[in-house]
Amino acid sequence: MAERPTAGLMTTGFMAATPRPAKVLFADGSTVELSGDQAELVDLVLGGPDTVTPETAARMLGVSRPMVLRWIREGHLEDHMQGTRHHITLTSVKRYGEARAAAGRRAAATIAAAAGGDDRAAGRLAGARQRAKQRIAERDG
Amino acid sequence: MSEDYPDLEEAAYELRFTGRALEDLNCPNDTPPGDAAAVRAGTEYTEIVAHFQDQRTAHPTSGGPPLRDVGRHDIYSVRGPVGERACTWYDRSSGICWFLGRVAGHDYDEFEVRAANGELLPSEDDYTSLEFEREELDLASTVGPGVRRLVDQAVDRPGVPVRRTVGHLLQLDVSVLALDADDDTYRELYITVRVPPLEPPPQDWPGGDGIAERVAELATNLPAEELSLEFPTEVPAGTREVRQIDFSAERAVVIRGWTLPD
Repeated sequence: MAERPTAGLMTTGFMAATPRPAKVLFADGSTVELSGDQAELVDLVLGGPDTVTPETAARMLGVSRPMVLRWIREGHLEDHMQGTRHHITLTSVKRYGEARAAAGRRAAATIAAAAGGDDRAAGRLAGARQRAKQRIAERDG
Repeated sequence: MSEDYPDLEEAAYELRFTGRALEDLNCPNDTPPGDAAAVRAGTEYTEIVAHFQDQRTAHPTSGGPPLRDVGRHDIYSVRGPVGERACTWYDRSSGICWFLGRVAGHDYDEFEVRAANGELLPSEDDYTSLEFEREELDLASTVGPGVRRLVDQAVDRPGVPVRRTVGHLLQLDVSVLALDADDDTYRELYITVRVPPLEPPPQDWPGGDGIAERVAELATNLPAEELSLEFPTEVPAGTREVRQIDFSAERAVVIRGWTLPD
């Protein structure tokens, strides 16, 4: 892609539960279309709102809205309510999202090690595998 | 709204992908199944994944009719923008809305074949991954801070064991005992972990020394490779007393030569 002047860069997108496409207007009058996700990311990078709604947090974290509310109650997400409106700090959403991603990476590495013959890793999985068997038995029973 | 689940609007659940679904999406082998953003980054079929995210974060069964001929009536379709199809299942007891698979076009037959072969719903490996990931998250976010507080208390009172139950999913009874070594800078840190019983207990429960090693990492915020760890069969139980570890439910680790943080 050819270089474009960055002066006068602005977005017309905004963060929403389902991000809408946006258009970027450059100083020279040229424009480029951004997808909804790209617009949301630009909004974040350029210092968009530092709080998000439960709907946006749900989409960012890949969970339902009630799960977001549960995580607020459990202290994993930071919420500043104004009246009946939730304002969840973006920092806490990112932090907890990264904690979940890190747990996923650790879990995947342990599972891969166990599959590769690592007895210690297989031992670490013993409890999880037992609970997994119980879940399947309950589901199929 | 499904008649089976009248309160779906209040359902707390996470989105997750089965291993079979990740294969359908041609994701790399190490793609975390609970990280929709990572799945989207690793697949060429980003739109169907985006549709799954958009629709299923709002409601666990909306966006398409339930599939027929798959042996049950609670598997729902997600329609992609280029005619592809995915199917999902809301697993209420696990708190997961699973992305079960993706097919090109309207090839629902593939889902029916998988269902007939018992390969449509999440497998034991899928659930093992889920359970272990939740265990890891609980360890890091709940057990870790709890253990570190115990370490602080134990270091303040060398020779006096401090004990507490920490964790949500994995309730660990953790005991920490700090002993002064010859050099005041170093401590021996004994950590004993008692895990809750499982019925019936797995053959290799509670899984070797891995849980104790992991708690040692959480206690010190250091990876095991940077710690001098031993896994004793007995631990101090007071002044000049020792006790045997109950290997049916306990594991212990001693961190030697551990430098106190500033």
